[in-house]
Amino acid sequence: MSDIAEVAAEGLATGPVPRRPRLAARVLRTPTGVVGVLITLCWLAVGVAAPALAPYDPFAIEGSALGPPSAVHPLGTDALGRDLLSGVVWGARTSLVVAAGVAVLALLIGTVVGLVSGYLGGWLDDVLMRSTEVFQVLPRFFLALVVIAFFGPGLDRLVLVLGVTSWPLLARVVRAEVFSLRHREFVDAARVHGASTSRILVREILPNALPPAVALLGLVVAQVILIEASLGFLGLGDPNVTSWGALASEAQRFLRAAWWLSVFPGLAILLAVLGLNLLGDAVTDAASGRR
Amino acid sequence: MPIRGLSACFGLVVLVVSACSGADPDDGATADPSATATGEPTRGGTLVAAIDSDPGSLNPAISTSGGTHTASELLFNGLVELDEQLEPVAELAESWEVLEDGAVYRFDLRNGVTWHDGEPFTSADVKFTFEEMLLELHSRTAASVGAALQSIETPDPDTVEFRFREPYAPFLLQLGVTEAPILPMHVYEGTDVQENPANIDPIGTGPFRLESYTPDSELRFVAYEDYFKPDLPYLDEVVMRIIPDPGNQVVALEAGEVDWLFGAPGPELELLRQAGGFGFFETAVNPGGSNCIMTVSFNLERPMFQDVALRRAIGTALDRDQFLERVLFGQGRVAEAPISSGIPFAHAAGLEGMPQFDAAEAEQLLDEAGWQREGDGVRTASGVDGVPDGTPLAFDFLHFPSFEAYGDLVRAQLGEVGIEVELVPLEPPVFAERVFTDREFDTNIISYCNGADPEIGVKRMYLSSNVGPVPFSNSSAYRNPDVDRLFEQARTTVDLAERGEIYRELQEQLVEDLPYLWIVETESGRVFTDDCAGFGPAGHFAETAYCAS
Repeated sequence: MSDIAEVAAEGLATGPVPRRPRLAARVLRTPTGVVGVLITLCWLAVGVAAPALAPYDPFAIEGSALGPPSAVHPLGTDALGRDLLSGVVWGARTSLVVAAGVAVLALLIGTVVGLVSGYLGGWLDDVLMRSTEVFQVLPRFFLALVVIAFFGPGLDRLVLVLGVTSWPLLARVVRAEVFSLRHREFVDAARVHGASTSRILVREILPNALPPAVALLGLVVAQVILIEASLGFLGLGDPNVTSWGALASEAQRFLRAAWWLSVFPGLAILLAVLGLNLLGDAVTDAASGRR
Repeated sequence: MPIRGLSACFGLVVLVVSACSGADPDDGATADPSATATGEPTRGGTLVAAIDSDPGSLNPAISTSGGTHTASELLFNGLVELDEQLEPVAELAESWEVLEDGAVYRFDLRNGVTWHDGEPFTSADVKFTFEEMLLELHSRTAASVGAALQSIETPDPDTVEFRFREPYAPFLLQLGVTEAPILPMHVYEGTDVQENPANIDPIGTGPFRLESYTPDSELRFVAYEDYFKPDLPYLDEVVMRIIPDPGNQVVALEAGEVDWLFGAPGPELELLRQAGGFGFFETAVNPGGSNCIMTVSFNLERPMFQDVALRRAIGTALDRDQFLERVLFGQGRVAEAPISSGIPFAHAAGLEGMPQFDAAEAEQLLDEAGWQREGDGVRTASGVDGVPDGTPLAFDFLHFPSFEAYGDLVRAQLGEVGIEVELVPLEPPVFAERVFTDREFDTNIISYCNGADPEIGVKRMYLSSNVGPVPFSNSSAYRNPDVDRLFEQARTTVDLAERGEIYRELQEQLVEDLPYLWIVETESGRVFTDDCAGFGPAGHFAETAYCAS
């Protein structure tokens, strides 16, 4: 899972990365970037506005069993007669909640560890980097499986377990950035002015070290969406919230009798992950000056 | 990595799911429910059957697991099987006498029966199997026969005599290969029966013997040439191929790789019917037991559920036709009484107190019970005994992951009348511990298999002495001395019509008290290629089967 991210991380870690003021503009100049941004924005919008967008309660029996797509149910209905469009829309919200929670946690931990480790160095660096490696080799998917097997399904524990295992790459990228930044002229200048360590870290170094980490975050989040969907597919999601993976899993039983049940949730997962990957790639390229 | 992890775990999950959902054969009724091949039975040939999980163990006497029974019953026999009308027919026992008003059963065993290794079968095998396995480790037989049996005597190698403390009416219904398979004493004697290697390399008396067992892949059986029923089996070989996903099983059947499925999802069944070239029949005989009813339990130790008015309101809010139509796709019936319609003498049809779906009436009953609703929201308590005012009408609903569709429908239907249901899917062992040991639940759904007689699988749900840690006992913690007394009376009444009257009175009491809600009686649809015919629904499904090609 981490191959892409690893390559991206290497790309980011090598060579000095000076601050580029118009990152967003550079991302939008590439077709990949435009498509990535559009899909991702779409996913965000649907997730945020799910209650308003979904035509029905995703759990309510609203139509006939296994109804094909129609005017009333644009994506059809499932075996119990629940509206699939509503399921897919609410599924976007579930994936968004998990992705956002994990992103915040991972970014927070990764940035702090990277900053401290890279700037202070010494034994602290050693300790932090070794523990980063420990977290990096944890198989996230299986850890999530184990946690859910022990504590039962729930979004809170899923966010927690994925959050505390998703930060190592971010920490390493931030640390590499800090290494290249900590003896740059503007940092030295701040130091000579008598700025405190924390001020230098937060005001001078952080803004320059963050963009590559944010680019990487897109890829990490895409993986998180896949994991969430996989757990749902295995029947390990929370049955009290709608999940794309759970929808796809239920669809298996009716693979030939009701194609729409597999196709639409599958498409939703595909698009969300594709969008985030495209966006992540575009940001990575823009941030490292490549095209 | 997620992909690899996904498929690796998928195997696991499917195994667990199918172990509890299963759809396979069992005891009883060897018949010819749907002969489609033409002419006289032909000899020879191989039948390939799909099964949905690896059986693990092939010893049906120490487990009631559907997977184990599906894969092992061809190898063994009981003393007495049941035909379609649930009449006892000779199997390992040639004839029998019922003495002392039903307190003593004497069986004359068939002569010349041999085990697959050539050793002769004797009454010592029967006594040994009962004492060391069935009464210890087979949960249904241990709970029913074990509780009533006094002794087993073997006056000579061809005779075995069961003596009960009091008359025990249903004994002849519990001697088939599902409830009481007979295993060889000479293989098991003096060993730990649960660890004996014969549990995966079994020796039986059945129509087929095991040729090879490749875990997670297939089992091969060949006809036992010295089988005690003349001319049987017709087939040379039976192969059971492990195909976990029901969808894939259907594809394999269509491709001709498999000849027999123990079950298929409703919509797929419909496609096969339209395609033609297949034979079908439906049966209530299933691996974990027969005549199963999907049953909702209320935890009567929770203050909220101590009020029968709430239980009745919930029963009235559930549209059971929708369960039949959308979860079972018509494979079964709406449950009309606490005892299955598969036990005709005990099933009490047309009970007045049985809750029938009526959303408006349910809302009214909830209002009257003190659960008030504002707008479309969740109802809250006001003036309900033992429940603080303002408590929302919300509870959890425990279920096996394979029963999630039931949970989804319960949540949707109760949501309509202002009840909030939280689904809690739990794997079977965790479910059993949480419900029966910890009693940490509000409501749940269980497939309670009634068996061929209420004594086998009904009584355990209601006896007040049966609340407690034994899995799949009295889940609701229902206690009613009248009901206990009626069960006792039914057990010692030998006349079937008289027993039926007692069970009717009992069921009238049960629908008045509503400790459970009886939702649907489940059946599964067997499918097979119409080159073959002569199948039974049960464990010996292939004993009388034959194929044209």
